[in-house]
Amino acid sequence: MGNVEVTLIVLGMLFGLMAMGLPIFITLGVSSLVGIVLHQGVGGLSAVTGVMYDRMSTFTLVAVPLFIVMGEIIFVSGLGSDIYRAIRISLRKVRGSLALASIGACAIFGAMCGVSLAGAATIGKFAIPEMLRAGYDKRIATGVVASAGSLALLIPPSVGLILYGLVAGQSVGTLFIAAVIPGIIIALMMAAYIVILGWFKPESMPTVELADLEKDMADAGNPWIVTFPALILVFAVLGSIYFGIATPTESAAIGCVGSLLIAAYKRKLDFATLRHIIRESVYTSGMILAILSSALVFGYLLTRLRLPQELVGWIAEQGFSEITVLIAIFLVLIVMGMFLDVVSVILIATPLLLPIINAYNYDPIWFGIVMAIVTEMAVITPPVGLNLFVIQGLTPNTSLMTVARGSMPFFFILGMAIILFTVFPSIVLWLPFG
Amino acid sequence: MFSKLCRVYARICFGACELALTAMLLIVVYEVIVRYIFGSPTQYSLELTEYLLVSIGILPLAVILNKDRHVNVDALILRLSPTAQTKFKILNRIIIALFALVVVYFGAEMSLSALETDSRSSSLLAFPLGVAYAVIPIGFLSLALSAIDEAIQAAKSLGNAANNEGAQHG
Repeated sequence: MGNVEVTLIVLGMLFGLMAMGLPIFITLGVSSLVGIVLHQGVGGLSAVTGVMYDRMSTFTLVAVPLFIVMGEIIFVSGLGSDIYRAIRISLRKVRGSLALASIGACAIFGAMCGVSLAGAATIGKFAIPEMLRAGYDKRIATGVVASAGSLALLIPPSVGLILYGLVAGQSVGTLFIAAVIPGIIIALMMAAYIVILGWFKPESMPTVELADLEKDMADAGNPWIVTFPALILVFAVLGSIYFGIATPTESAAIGCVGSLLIAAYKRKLDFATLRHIIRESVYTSGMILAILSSALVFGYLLTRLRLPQELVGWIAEQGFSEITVLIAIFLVLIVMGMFLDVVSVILIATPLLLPIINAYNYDPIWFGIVMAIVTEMAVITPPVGLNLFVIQGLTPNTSLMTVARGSMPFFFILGMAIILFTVFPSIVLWLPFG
Repeated sequence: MFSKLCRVYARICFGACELALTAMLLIVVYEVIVRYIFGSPTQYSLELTEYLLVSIGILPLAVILNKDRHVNVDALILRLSPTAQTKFKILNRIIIALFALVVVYFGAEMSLSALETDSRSSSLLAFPLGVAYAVIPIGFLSLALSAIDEAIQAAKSLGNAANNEGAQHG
């Protein structure tokens, strides 16, 4: 059977099995096995477990479960509410201070945790009820947390960037450093939108007296006292990578120890909590690594079929302009993100699209950052935008569409950021290579 | 009995995974301390963490399936009737079991072959690769058994629902 026929069957099976509700790692695995049998015969299957094992046993990948453990520790430590309160107190005279504090807290939380759900869930638990009590428009209250929570997917340490680095063969440390400035710029763009909205529609986010908010937390103490060590932790983790002192895996271990010390200082650690942290980390890590193991086999099949090369050749034959190809790639990623989770988008799209990006001489580090931003868009887009579901779950009597509508302006902000970083790629590449 | 056996096997695999994650964290922290504070890195930490990592990726598959924590696209399935959803669940679990059994077969072949030839890692640790590879058949066998068990349970619930409906009509 020819490569084109095998490719069509594999892709058809992939989408068909996904529609049946099978776990993504099974759909990738089954369609890869079928593709290998059609292409090489049953004997080809003997390579599958070897591919799975050899490509998974990579020291860089050890950072994934460690950063997940770090995120879980931060999640149970209650640090999110301290960061939120600290920023809220500092911004109390600005209109929209609660929404701004949510963005700031999600950004800092994202710098300690590589999974977007944790940030949205942690900050949303405190911020959304406060915003609603203060009379904020429900769409703004929910949309801002859902969207700012997605910053964790870009701001290092991002699990998505580690996976991209592995599949694309790029340095995870360089990707982390490249993501810092785009992450800050996007957080500032989101904050600017809130300030502008507060200016033009002040009724959507009334000013609120700090005393009213703090009366419930009078005995909680000064939040900056705990937030300051958290900021030191962020600088320790990212600084050790930036200055080449430690590898991402080693910095993840440093982060785990630091976050354990903070949680212990806050008296949030006991044996049961530690077991809970490990158990939840195994669930998340196992789920991600399972998809990765099948995606590696899928990537192996694509290489055997020479699909990426065929795709590049076909695009070159058609004579499409660079900008047309880029727009097509972004649209493919956005549509994939609407239906697939972040990990699957990165692991399926990278081996297919990266050769095209390389053929047009775009930097793979830049593409990794852009892909991370697209995955941010994915988690706030129905029908499977995970952050939308998390925020809906946290907000009683709220429809998914309310959260989705609230997130829509931020979707466009992320789109604007992609255009900005495409027109000026040096914004992304300056810090790692400048 | 079969159901209990599957659950116990899956729990043992998951427990091993929890230990592997804890051990991995401790090993990397230890490595950071001895490398950067005492200036004497170990010869084995890198290799050991890689073995543990593969275990974390493969051993918990069955429990994650039981807990419904694997990522899937269920937007279409949720629109179906409960009976149709159960039928799809049975079909899905059969597909999972077949896939897992194929991986068990080739994983066991790879592991046994490495054990027979006494293949060892090329590092100072000289770890027996057959043992490291054995994680694949062990983890995927647990997944296959759990999937078969869930398919049986789903088929039973489907049968019970049909019987109840028949009794009501009777």
